Amino acid sequence: MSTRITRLVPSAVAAVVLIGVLAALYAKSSGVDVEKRSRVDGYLRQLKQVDAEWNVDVLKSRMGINANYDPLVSPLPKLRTLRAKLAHELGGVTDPEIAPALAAVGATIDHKTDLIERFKSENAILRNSLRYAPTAVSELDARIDAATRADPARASLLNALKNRADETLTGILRYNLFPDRSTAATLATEVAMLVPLAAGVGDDVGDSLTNFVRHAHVILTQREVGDAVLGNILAAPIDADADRLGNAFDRDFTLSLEKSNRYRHLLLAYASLLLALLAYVGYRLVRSFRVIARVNHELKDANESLERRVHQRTEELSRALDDLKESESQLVQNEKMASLGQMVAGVAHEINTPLAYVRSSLETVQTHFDGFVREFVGAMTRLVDLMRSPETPDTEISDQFETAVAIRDRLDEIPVADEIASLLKDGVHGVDEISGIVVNLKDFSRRDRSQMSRCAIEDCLASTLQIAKPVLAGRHLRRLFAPTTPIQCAPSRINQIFLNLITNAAQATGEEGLITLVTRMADAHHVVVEVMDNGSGIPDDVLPKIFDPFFTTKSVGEGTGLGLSIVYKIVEQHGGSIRVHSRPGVGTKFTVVFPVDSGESAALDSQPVPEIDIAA
Amino acid sequence: MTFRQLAALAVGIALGVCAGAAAAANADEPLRPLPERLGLDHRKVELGSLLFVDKRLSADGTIACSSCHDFANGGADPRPRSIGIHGAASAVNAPSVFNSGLNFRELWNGSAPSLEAFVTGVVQNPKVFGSKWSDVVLKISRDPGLDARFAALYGDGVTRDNIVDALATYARSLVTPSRFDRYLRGDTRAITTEEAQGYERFKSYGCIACHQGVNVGGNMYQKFGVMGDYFRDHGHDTPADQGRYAVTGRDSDRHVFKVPSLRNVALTAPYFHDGSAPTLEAAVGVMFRYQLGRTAPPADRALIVQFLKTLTGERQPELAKAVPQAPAPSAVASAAEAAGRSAQ
Repeated sequence: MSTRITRLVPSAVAAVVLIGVLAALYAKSSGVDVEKRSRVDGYLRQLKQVDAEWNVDVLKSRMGINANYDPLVSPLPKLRTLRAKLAHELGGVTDPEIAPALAAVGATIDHKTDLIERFKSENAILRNSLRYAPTAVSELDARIDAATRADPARASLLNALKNRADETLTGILRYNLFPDRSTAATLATEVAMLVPLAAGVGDDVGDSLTNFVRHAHVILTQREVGDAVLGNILAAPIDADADRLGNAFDRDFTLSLEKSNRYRHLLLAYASLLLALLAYVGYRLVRSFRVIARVNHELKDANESLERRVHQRTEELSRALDDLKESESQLVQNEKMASLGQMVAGVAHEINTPLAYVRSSLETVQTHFDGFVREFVGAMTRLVDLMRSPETPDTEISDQFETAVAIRDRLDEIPVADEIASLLKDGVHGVDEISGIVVNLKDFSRRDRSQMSRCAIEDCLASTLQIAKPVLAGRHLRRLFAPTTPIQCAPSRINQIFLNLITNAAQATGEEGLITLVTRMADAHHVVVEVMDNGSGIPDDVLPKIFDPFFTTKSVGEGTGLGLSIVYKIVEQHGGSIRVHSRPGVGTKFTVVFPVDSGESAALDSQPVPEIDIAA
Repeated sequence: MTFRQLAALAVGIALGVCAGAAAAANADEPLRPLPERLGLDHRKVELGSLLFVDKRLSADGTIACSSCHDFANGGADPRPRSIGIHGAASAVNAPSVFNSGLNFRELWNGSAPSLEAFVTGVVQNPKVFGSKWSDVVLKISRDPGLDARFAALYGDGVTRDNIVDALATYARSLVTPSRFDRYLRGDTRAITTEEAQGYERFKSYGCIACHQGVNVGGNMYQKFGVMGDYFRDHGHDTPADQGRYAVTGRDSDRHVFKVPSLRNVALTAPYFHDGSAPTLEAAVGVMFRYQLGRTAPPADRALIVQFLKTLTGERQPELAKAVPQAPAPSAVASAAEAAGRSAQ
């Protein structure tokens, strides 16, 4: 898993780098915000329009066409918004000309706002005085008229004043409509000349005159100041500043457009490259996919054929197992037959000896019977016959008598009766011996094989030796029997063990071989039986295999190779153990250890053992 | 005489004042009616109405906006000088909050270009609310109800700018259409003959030179004392009396103030930035003398005062779609009075 991840890391890094470059190029190429440009252009256009309308409204206010100053105030929030928007749009632009241009636009707007504020104030004062000036002169006229009525003597003076005031008013109003600097100076002089007159015309007229003079002065001053302010307002170059800002922005925009165009070309080239790479990767991918599909298909085929082969092999194996089982049973049968053959040979030999002398005794008895006994019986029968017949001469009877006596004497001379008795006795003995062998045979292979009983190991050995006598022919047998506790066992199977071991020992030794049987207690609960020979021994390479089933050193047909494996199994079933020590040329020792109480009766009952049932 | 008549006619044409401009709906009228629609977010108005009476805006929790902007006093402060936290006397008399959204700038010296700028500044002003905005934001955001309202209205919840926005929006909703607005819209019977005559006097005496537009003022600066030195005559010349000079530092701006709106002027005594005129009649008198540089017969001045009283309007909650929870003027008034008493 971790190796897979580490294998993936370089590809992932490469992919990230490729995409990163693409993204960077894209960002660079799309760095030109055309919408931003149109927004900025729009704001600047709006700014210029607001400014133009502002100028118009200022003029209208000056002309009195605007009845109030609301139109001069309403652009203020618009200008504030536009300035904020422009600052927002252009805040991030790095062009060195834009920030000063933007600041200049702001400063100009502030300056113009200030000027317009001044204009409103000055214009209000001017308008107030302009409005009031005729009224003030009317008031002055009324008071002069009153004063004239009160003091006709001063009529000419007062009328002169009245006319001068009227002329001054007319001059001022005309000046207001058509202002020029020289008229202003003349009017200022005229107004100034009115001032000293106020002293000599009485309080009423004087106050009124002073009032008019004040307003006339205000008009003259404010008109001039107002015109100056108005000129400054109209000269305030918001328009030009906005254009300069627009030009700076356009230049910056064009530059970044060119830059982004370069990046666009780069992006195009890079994208084509990437596309080619992608196509190649895709091609590779498709190819790999095909290979994978093919390999997958092959794998599937292989899998199927493997399954088929496994199935086939399983069938073969099962057949082989069947064959093996068959041959195993065949071999077991062979072993059985071989053992049987040995048994039969032994038993035949055992029986043959007593049978021979039973026969000879019976033949001797028959000989005796055919000779003397038949002769004597015949002589006696004739004698009796002669004696019974009255016409028989005595001589004949005495002759016959003599003959009979002679035969009896002969019989006395050779103790035929004793001999026959002896012979019969011998015969009975022989028959007894044969019957003993048969009993032994029965003991060796009892029918109730799995029957567990407590049995002395020495009895089993004795029984086995009886059977194995023919095999042992001529070998010296040494019995070293220490007293042992009878063990719980199936005697017939124990016999089978011993027969096998003894037979092997006998076969391993020549005619002069020595076979030693040892019994002893290993401890209170284990009995040891050792079967030793001084035979050829078992080679080291063979030794580990001797308990394997079907292993044999004998030529084909002589042994089944099952003997020791069966021994091993029986020992195991009795909870015992078997060991072998062998040295080639010195001899072999089998050591069998039996527990006194095997406790394996159940297992023994249930587990079938290849049996050699000689009684079957 | 012919000269004078000719000249008068010329002046009349030049000023655009039509002699027969009795037609109330005439577009050339220097006064204009209040807008009929405001297009404000009524939820912001409602939120602003809650903040308007919220004393948590002040550092010590003693004053709210409504402490100085007394709804029973035309939205202005009845005290000559407004009182901030710790009883600090402000340099000026708080003008009306009513129709303040129609002023071209805020404050007597016009130093705040907008309601937003005004609210932002006044909360931090040590002589008014004396707060730090961070504290105000914290206090308001701890109020679960207000916090929820802000969260619902503004993406970023309680912030300085959002509090300012809600308060400014509320202030903009406080327009007061009057009988005179109906008159301007063509209802010639909305005002009496005397009041209409008063309006004519108002125009002919030149008051209209400054008090014009939709807010009857509030759209320009003017020097206080054009035709006479008001401050010398009244024997004081405090920094607040310098007016716009305090903002620009230009001599030409000395004693220059924002021309106040005359809407609800009958309710907003005392008058002028220093609250020096206790009655409307006194204020009109001062204006005649120092601004117009003339006198007028008492009858004409009375007519003008009568006209000015037609500018008294009613708050129109439906205009701003304000909700019922906007503070009842009486309750606010009493609260403000209580605050005023305790401050004094």
